[in-house]
Amino acid sequence: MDGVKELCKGISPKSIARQVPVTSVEFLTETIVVSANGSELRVHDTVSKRVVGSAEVLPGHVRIHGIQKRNDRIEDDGVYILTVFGAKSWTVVRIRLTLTADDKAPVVDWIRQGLVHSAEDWIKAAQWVQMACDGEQAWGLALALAHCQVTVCETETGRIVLAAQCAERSLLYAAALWGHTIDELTVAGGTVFNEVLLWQAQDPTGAVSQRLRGHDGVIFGLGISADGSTIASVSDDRTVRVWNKQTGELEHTLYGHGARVWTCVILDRVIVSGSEDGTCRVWDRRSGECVDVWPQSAKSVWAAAASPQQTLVAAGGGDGSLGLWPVGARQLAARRVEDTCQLGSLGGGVRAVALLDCGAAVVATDAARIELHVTTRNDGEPRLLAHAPECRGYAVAAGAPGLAAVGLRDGSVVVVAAGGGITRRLRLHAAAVQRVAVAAHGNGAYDLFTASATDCVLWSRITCAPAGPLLSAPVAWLRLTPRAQWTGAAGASAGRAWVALGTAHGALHVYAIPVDLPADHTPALSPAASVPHAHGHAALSCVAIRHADAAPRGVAVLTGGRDGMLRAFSVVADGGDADAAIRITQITEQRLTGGWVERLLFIDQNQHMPWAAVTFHRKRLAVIRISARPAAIASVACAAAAKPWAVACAPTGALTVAVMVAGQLRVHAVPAAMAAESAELVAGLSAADVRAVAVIRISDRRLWVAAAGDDGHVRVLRVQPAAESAASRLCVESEARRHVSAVRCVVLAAARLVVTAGAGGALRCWHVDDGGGRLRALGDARQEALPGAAARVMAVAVLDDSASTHVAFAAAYSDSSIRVWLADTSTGRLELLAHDARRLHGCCVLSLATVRLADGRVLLLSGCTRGQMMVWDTTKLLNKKACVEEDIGPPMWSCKVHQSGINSIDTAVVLQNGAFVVASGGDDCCLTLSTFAVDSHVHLLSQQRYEFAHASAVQQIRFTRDGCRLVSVSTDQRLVVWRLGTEKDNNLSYCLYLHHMACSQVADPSALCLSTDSEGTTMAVVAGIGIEVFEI
Amino acid sequence: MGKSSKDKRDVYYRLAKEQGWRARSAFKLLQVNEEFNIFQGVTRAVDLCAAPGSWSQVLSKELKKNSPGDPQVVAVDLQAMAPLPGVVQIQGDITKLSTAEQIISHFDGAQADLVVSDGAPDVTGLHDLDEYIQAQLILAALNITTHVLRPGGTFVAKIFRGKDVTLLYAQLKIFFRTVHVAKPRSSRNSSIEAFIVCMDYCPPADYVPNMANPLMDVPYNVSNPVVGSNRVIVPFVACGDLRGFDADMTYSLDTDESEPYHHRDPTQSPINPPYKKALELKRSNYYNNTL
Repeated sequence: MDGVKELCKGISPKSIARQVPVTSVEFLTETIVVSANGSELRVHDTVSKRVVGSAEVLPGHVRIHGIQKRNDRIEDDGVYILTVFGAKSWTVVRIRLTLTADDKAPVVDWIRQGLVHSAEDWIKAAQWVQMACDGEQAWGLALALAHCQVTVCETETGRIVLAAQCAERSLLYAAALWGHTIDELTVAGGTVFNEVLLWQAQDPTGAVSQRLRGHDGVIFGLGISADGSTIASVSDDRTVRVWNKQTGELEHTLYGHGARVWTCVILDRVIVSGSEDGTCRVWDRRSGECVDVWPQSAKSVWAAAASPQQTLVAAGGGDGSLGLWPVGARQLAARRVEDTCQLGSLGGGVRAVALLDCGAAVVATDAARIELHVTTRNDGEPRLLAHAPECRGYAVAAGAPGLAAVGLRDGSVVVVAAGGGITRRLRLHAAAVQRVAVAAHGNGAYDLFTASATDCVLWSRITCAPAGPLLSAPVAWLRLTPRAQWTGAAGASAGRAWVALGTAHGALHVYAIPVDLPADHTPALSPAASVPHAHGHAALSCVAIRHADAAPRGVAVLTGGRDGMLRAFSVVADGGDADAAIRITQITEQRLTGGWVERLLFIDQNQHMPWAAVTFHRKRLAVIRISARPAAIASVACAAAAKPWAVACAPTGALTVAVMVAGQLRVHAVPAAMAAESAELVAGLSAADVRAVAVIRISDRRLWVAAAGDDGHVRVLRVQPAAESAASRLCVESEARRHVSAVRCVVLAAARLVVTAGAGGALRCWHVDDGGGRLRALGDARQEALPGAAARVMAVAVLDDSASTHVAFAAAYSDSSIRVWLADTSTGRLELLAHDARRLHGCCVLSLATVRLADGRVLLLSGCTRGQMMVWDTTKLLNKKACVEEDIGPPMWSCKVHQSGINSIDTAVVLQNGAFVVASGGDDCCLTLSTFAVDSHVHLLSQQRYEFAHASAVQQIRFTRDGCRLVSVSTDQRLVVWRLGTEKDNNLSYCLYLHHMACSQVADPSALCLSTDSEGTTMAVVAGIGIEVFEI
Repeated sequence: MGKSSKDKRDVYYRLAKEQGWRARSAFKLLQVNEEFNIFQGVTRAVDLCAAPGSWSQVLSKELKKNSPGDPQVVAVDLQAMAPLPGVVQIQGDITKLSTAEQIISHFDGAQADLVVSDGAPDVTGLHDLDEYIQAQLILAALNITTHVLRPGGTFVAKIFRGKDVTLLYAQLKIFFRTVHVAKPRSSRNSSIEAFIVCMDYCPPADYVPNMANPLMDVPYNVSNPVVGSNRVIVPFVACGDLRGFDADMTYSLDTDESEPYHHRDPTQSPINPPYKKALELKRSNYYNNTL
């Protein structure tokens, strides 16, 4: 058939590492989770956070869609029995665990699987049921199938004991089963017609017993509570609906997810739903209120499961991540009733809140009152501290342990101290107080910073000795640059020799305070030194000063910004006198959050780094302890950073967090010993589909692969085929973002230069750091618009990387052009060498390849959406000295080799007689192999076509380094290895022989790269929706 | 995104608006016809999963050119669709026998010459699931087609060329003498969609159309293995004029120099998305006060 000679013998390519969407999770014990990774089952220990076992349990072309544990253990020797199913296949897996006594990680002794059985139709759900078998009770497996069918099977033989068909045969997107015995087996099916159907498996008529109507979209997921009383359904309409299973009554419609909802699980007190928006939401079953949001994944959350005792929920993401979230005891929101105080009796809306200490909140309300609330009780009446008509509609507040300040519209500041025993109103400004900040120095000494105008901050000193009166004195006006906007970021050093402020434009200003400040008037001070964009263009939202050990004459300034970064600067005064030059240098930087850093909190005197940061990200306020490995010590859901909030820390380390939720103020008490509240068992790989991969370094049986895709990020992945644990064979080492939108190509040139390209005509250069784990951006972050900015770059091929200073490469564009670029390897500067001025392809150019001939000539091959392949001579361009844009010139050869798009071209070794071999893979499922001879022209010697090389579009092809084998991948999810050979009768006519084949678990594979190490082992990295590495 | 960026990115989207088609998919059917001449001699055509109606538009316009009589077009969809001249609409479920009977009754008892289906499910992003659901949709369309299509008739449907497309080919080849998979140039290269063009309807001798049982896709087995060249294969044909527009190419907005570009709104805006209520709540700032 078409010259394809089958040689499917020997070993097929072996999958050695993989990370694909987690489509199913299940708990074996309170601490052991199993998850699906394609056809592989992984066993995770939640204590050590390690993968303790893994096994391929379904055929390679089947993805696991469900795991269901049998709820009792009959064999008492640590054997857990579960069914694993995907598509139409199911099997029973036995896992034996040894739980070691000495707190070590449990050991998976073995994973054994039974036969893989086939169901008649797609399996949507499975449930273990008790049934009578030869007069004895036995376990059977009930399967809900996609056309409203249920079969109950014997688990060993797969024999069908019962097959029941619902009276309706609608196609189901989702199903759930309930019942411990075959007699009580109830089936719930979520149809494509937006309905949930309930019927009894034992009812011979298959009559629908309940029909739950209300969703506006198809039902993607269903859950039934353990007691069988409640059904939850999730849908395309972005809602979760909760139904009474007996009456069919709709109990709650839960709005909140920002995209489609895929899955749900019902616990005793809450419902957890997972959505396309990447979050899990936790809903109170009684009230229907959303009590928590877990940012699980960069992409969809496909699966969630609760631990047997319902203390943990594991959630699996579309980015391959597996997260662990505590419910119950450690989760604040879920036990809000006991643990948090909801200040619901406030008359009117809350305008501002500050915490005096962990138990007292000062609140300014729209009812013109400044009140003191004792937050440890829910019932106590608030105490009126001041009646201030000015706080109707406007107030700002800040607090430090023992002191709170509320700024008002009339320019006055109400200061509350001594546990609310002292209230003083200070007339500080003539206009409304826009920002206020308080810093404590101990022994009743405080700094108060207030501003009414945008460019000047008033610094006042407040003393409030335990038994004495409250004294206040303005110290100085601190000038900012004109039109700068102070964010409330202020800090003073312990000896008050330094003050630092931050602005909305990211500037850091440091003031050196003279020892002899005048007492009779308030002087105005200018910054001694500034960093204009300490946080880029993001606001510098908080600052703290501490003495640096190393520099006795200087201090260290810690800043947090709305870019999510924490930076440390050293401030050093050169020389001894007052006019000394002040130098600020950045010492460190650290990313704390994907959102905003809003405040720095002094939490622990005894620590080397006594600070924590208050951050806001995805509607959660998190307190993160700052260290080499920042960890969240508290995290609560809240509305937004712009709403009033406050955080206080007690000397014991206990935290109090006050946030606005649903228009009400909630005060959460966080115990001191609370551990980080969530854990990541597997880190997410990529936020979006991967579109390009390139090996950037090979060393010591390890590979570093740069991968990029639709999310604009470029990640470096480390592949360790020899690693024992399945999870550590593939991990993300670093990531960076310089593309605004999708990246389509990544190539390595000159050993250390990486070029990435994609939408918006974007071309970026990177340098591979020593070790290979990081890519350092070259050139200015703000790139000027390059020619071709209106189009997408579809492919990049290196033409010449022999020079150490420059690399020439060609880029193919969606505007039908090809452009040749010269990149400076040290600066990343790009110059356009030449372009295809006539745009001869006349359609989107999809693929490029280069071949260097023995005589030094460099040919470029290009393929387009219409199947045309062209060969260009670029030698002349590369030998040019000056960079003058010119036309690439006419192609040397042009021919239609595919019916539709040429997705990939690659060239193999140059033959001795000056001939070379070109392979191409197309959207038409076809591979072609062409042999060319070159003199002053290009001559096609022979061309072979393999029409049915794949069942679907060929996406990428690559020759191995020795040119003896060709690897192709296609959207049919097959990886095929072809052997390059010659026809028997003609040794110049090259052809391909089918060598090996494997199924890949990576859907929509659009990228492929090969790497051969010094021992001759070749790895193939396939990327698309996930990444898989094969040894071929 | 600016208003014109989708116009810039997708030339067929722009052309569809300019030429008054309800969706860009109209060009796909036109291009399939260019290659396979499926409209030749057709007087009775059925459009399954018709909404928003661009294929019905094409059928009602093109059939007039090809056949001398008065061609009849029946469009079936679950959703309501804006009326189209010359097209009889049935709002119904394609898995119901009553729908098949309704179609036949509109043809005065005669069977259709051509059945087309451009239906696609709500794509989830899990490719194996999406491909399965799409295959079930096609098999449901095939099932109703076996009730309404005359022997020798043609069936055209959208498919996803994913990992198990072979299973679908195997099933379709049981019912049709020739089966091709067509990729119109107006369908993006990056899209996994293609169109199955099944000609010369010829059901197995013992086949009795039965709406009560859904048609199932056949499993992989010895005669249809997972991999290898022994699997069922279907020829691929790219269709559409090579000189025509390229769906993947970035065009400048002024393709026609005689007429400068101006932005047009879509011919038919989407009706009632499932997330309408959720979106309304978002717009009314409901979420700002909750988690």
